Amino acid sequence: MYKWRGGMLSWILHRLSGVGLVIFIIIHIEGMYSIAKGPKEFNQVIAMYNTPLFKVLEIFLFAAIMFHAVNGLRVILLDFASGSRYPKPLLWATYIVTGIVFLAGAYFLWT
Amino acid sequence: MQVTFKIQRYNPETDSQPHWEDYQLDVEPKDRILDALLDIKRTIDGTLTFRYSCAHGVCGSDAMMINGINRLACQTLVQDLKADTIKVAPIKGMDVLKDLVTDFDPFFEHLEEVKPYLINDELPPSRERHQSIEERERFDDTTKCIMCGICTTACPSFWTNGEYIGPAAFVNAHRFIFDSRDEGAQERLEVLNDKDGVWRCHTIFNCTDACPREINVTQAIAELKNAITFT
Ligand code: FES
Repeated sequence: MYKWRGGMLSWILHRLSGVGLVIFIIIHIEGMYSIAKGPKEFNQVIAMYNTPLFKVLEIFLFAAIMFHAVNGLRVILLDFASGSRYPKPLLWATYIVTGIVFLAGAYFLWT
Repeated sequence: MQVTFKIQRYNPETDSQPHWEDYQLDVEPKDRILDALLDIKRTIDGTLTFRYSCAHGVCGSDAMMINGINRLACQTLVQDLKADTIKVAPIKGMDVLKDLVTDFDPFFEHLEEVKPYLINDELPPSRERHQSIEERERFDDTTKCIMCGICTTACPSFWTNGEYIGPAAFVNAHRFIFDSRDEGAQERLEVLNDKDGVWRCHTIFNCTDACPREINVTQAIAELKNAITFT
């Protein structure tokens, strides 16, 4: 087994969060489609969205979006702005920024 | 100090699968892994097979995966590893020919694809082709490559796709593309823009982390990506 390092972890997380977001889009489109069917379906879908399970999923979704977005910016900097000269600081910055925004956002989502 | 060497062995004539074998060895902390391998070969098992030549980090023959990271056996000291079990395996992504010896043929084919030699149809002036200090500086980092294969075989993109041209070839393309005396940039960039070219680099940094010559491989690849995009 090759030793795991920061760059490899970020790459895997980027892929996983990307796949997660695609799955979300499908669920989302399905939800929007159902809502438009009529008042009964509308209430059903909204009730489902308010269950604790969906709240937790929502927080996971938020984490995936934030990581994918911030890490995406990191990759752009690496490729097109000489960011590859400073891999370690950029890696840390990605995790710190993602962490702070996630915690702040998750607090609002939960309360 | 006593160290256990776990070495991946494979003999194509008798084995269907590689397997691990343990060797106990008394070593000095400042011994190199290459010394230990030679010691095992001389005193325990003469059939242990590996490549080396210069033994001083110049020829690039003895790249292997030592405790989970690609390194040159001749440049790695026992004390660097801070472990009493040392695992030695062949580099990943190449066919293993025997024990720690891998097949480098596809590696050198990829290297040839990027034309790692001076392209310039004009005859040189009566003396050498001149270059300013700044022009020479532009590609200094990538002149240090010894083609040991450590970067390419540390790259997950290469493990999953042997057609990937790979970081080592990119480094050597960079060395000529940014050389003011060279005129082959365009034809090389076309090769690099291929589906198995630079765009399969996902900035994982395994190559840069492992390079024994401390070349910033990822930065060199980024410069190639920029050259393709903006010229
Ligand atoms: S033996 Fe030449 S680089 Fe290690």
